[in-house]
Amino acid sequence: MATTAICTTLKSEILQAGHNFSTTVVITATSGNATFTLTALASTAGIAVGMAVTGTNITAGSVVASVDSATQVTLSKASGAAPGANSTTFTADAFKIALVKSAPTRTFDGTQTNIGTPGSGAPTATNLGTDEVAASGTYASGGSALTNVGPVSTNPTTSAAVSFSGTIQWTGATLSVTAAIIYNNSTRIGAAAVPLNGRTVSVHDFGGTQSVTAGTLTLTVPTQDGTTGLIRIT
Amino acid sequence: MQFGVLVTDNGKHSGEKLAIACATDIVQIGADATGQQAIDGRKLENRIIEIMEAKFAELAAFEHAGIATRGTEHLTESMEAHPEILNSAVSEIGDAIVRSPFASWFTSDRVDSYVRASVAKWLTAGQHMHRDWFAVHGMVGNGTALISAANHNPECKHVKDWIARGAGLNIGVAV
Repeated sequence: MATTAICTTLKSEILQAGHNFSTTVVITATSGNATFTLTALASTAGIAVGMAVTGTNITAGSVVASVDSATQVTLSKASGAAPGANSTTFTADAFKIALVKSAPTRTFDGTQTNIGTPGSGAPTATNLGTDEVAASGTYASGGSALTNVGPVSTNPTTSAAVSFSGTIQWTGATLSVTAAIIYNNSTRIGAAAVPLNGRTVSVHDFGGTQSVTAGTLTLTVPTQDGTTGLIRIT
Repeated sequence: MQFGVLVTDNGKHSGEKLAIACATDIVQIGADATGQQAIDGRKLENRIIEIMEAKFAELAAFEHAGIATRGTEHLTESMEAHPEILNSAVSEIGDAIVRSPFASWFTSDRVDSYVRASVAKWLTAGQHMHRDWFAVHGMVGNGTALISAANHNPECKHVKDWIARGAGLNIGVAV
């Protein structure tokens, strides 16, 4: 059983900069130095501190340490050399969606704090555990990656909504599911007794058991606005 | 906060089913709606279903032709909604709306962009479905009439990339 809700911990974590739903930014830094800065960026719009940075000559594991101006950012790790005319990619947090099996032992709702280890262990507020549906077809344990759209102020204009693009779909799958849980798979803030990643964002009840046999299960994301949006602040 | 759920046993969603989902997305009629507006809304929805059914058939033909001629390399084609099918669908739906009693409701740019976004979303879902069945299961065809694809190669890099992209990063952190 599940109740559709934003997870309570999401609210406090947002205030701690614990989630970044921004869309990926791909931009060319035409110059830079072999230390920490990327200069001559066409724009720094959409780039935020903490975003992962990848690209030519960017050291693995680099994130944005600071946004210095409209054309420059400083990275957390020194680069090997300037990126030249190559694109540099700035990526926000990686969100995933996992499925809850029919007749789960736990009632999933806004009290869920972490996805834990899907498929393993007793279901608790910090672990989806054995209440995850068994892998089948293209559904693998832990669920599927989501593609961030980025939050917008929306209708009504006093609201903000988060959405995801791409297709949330599993094929060749035999599944019997009752809900989905969206979680943040990036390590952005520390935690004590739960995994650093896997912090839950929201629980979405399907209004009953949805079953598919060797077929196709598609989840469609509602319009990104203040009344129907998947995750919204009103 | 609710996901829509679309389920088909033993194969792919049919073009008809995808068309119904797309039309329902565009013309949202309250479950308790009655009277002339509800009737007119259903008629418009039915017209959009007819339009989109043809578009999903076109999309299936495009995807199957791509798979037949390019094999697994077709998986590297853009996942953006097929631009010609998208544009013609939006144009035909626009015409249907203009001819409906709701013409005055659908005049703003915002509505136009909403129709475009909805059609794009469903075309992309259809595109993804055809490629996923080919890449992961080695099957082609429509609806539940699927057959094994002769040119499927599970060891191909494009197939492996496709599967990895869908799964995203695995997590394995103990509680």
